[in-house]
Amino acid sequence: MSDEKKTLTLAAMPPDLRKVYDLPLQALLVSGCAPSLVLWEQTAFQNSWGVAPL
Amino acid sequence: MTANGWLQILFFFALILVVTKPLGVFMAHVFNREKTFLDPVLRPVERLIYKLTGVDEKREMRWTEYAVAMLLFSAVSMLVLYLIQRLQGHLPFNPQHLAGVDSSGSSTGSFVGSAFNTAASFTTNTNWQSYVPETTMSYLTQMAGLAYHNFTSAAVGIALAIAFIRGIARREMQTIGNFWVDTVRAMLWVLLPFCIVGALLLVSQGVVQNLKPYDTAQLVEAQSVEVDKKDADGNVINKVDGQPVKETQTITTQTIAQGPVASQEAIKMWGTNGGGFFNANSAHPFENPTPFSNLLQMFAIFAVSAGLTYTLGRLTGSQKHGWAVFAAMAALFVGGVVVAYWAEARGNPLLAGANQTVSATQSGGNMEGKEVRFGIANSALFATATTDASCGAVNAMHDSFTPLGGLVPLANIMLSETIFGGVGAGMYGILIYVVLAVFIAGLMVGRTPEYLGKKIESYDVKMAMLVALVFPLVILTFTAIAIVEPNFGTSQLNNVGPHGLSEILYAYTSGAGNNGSAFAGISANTYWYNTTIGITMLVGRFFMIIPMLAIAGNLARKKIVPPSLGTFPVTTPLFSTLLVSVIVIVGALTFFPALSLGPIVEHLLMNAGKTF
Repeated sequence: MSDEKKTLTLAAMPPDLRKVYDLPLQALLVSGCAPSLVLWEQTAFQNSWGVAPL
Repeated sequence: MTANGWLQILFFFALILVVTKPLGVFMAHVFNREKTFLDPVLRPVERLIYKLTGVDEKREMRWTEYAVAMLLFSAVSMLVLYLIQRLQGHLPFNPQHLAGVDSSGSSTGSFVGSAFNTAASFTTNTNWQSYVPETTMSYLTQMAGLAYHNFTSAAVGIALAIAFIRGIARREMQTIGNFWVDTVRAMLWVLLPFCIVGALLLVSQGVVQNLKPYDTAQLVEAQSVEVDKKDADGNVINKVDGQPVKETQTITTQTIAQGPVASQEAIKMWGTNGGGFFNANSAHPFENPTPFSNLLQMFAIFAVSAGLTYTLGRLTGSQKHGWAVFAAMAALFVGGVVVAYWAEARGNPLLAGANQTVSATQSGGNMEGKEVRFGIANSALFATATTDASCGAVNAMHDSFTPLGGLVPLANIMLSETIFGGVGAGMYGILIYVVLAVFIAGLMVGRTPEYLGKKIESYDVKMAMLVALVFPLVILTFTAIAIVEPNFGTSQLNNVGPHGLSEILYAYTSGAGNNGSAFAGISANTYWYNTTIGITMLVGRFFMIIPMLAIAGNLARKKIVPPSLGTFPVTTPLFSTLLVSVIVIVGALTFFPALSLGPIVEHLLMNAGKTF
């Protein structure tokens, strides 16, 4: 990869410039990562207990 | 009032007192990245999250970057919730085949801004619900949409509180921590473990937890009800005068709504969210079936916020200051619960014919809108705790409280998340008032105010005042518009007179205070209320956070001034008293006129024999 192209990847960005792009990307990634964790927690005990007897 | 009732209230408070220190120490360890007993399990998960999301856990942020990260995260996750709601009809985990929110097939009706309202509500940790959950939201929306926000909005609140505490504790530093790291640690260490244990405990009490479609039960006796007559297309048929044509319908079955309730209930309370899985919230027997589950829920409302006062002391190196803040919160809490319990146990003189005397078979007092399994004491205690802590879950209907009993929850929210408050939000909420209190103390003795060695200067006080002013501005402005507007404002009220004003005032106060409990008695699922309460919630959350972070950033940069004879100590009972006074006076000056026209005049009219 040429030097010119390298600057387009996040890791290769100068720290100041990277900070600008970091935040939206991380917001997106953390927002994407957290639901799977919550969904796991929410479904962990599923169907082990039914509805209470009526 | 009964000895048994007081004993239960005392027991609850003792329980909170007991866990304050261990929880506070635990959280101090978590956010200082010291070793905890959960590290072997959670540290690998944390590292994996940072690896997946490209977060450098060692990199610190200035307050501006911290604020931007928080806003972006909230914006993205609010948009995700909005989309899940609108698209739920095409998504999995929807055994009832519920249509997308705000579509014509949804129980919210056609587009009324409900999805926006709910997205704003859950993102801001308010959990105001203008919809009926069991007939509106699919299991996926409840789990990946709403419960997800229950976790993240609470984690963000805790992260922000820690950032503020760091601002106080640090000297001559530009940064206040890393938003991503604080949020992830709050979620993994503080929220998830309790919720797993809490969900299991709730299940043991009879809270349901499944993904089954709703059951149908045959009624023992058929019931006749009057409903609006509809044409073949499902539209209501109106008479010439505009009133709907009625027809009698015989009901022989009842739908038993169920779902993944226990897992959502745990975070609903521990994260002081309060949005119920069912419309009846914690009064519903599937959400809160027993007195023990009720105690567990009330405990969960206060525990983290109480613990954070100890964390404050730990991280700022002044444990006595932490306890002084705790004492101020506790004094305000006790004042509220005493009034609420007294007012409700005293009963309503206009409920003629109802037995309001304590006996073996009667709870005594005003039992309208309360559950028999909780009685007066636990309903008054729950109402006080849930509005102190900006939780918003309810186990009794606040609209049915006596005027003074109903004033307590309303006034609690008006004191702006200072009495334990929402997880995290309560801590930074009261710290804003601490800044004001030391400023006032400084003015009294004619010295530059200091707070734990940091000089409080004009910038800090301006920011604190911004928080104190925006909060009532948004509440009172929207309430004033709604109360004089007959078409979209008062037309949605079920009660006239001062009670009607209380209902509208409560709705906007609940929104701005990020509480989410409702006085009920108001049909808020309209375009006007959904939009304006949605805006109120966003303003109430973010216009409080940004000035608060600005203060934190500014404090972190300051030098420590050694204490002198003129330094006002923030560790004494005098400080706690001053803090309580500042909170009450600011709250009273702002809201007393509105309260006089609402619950106070209603109380006087009730004594004169008039009800609304």
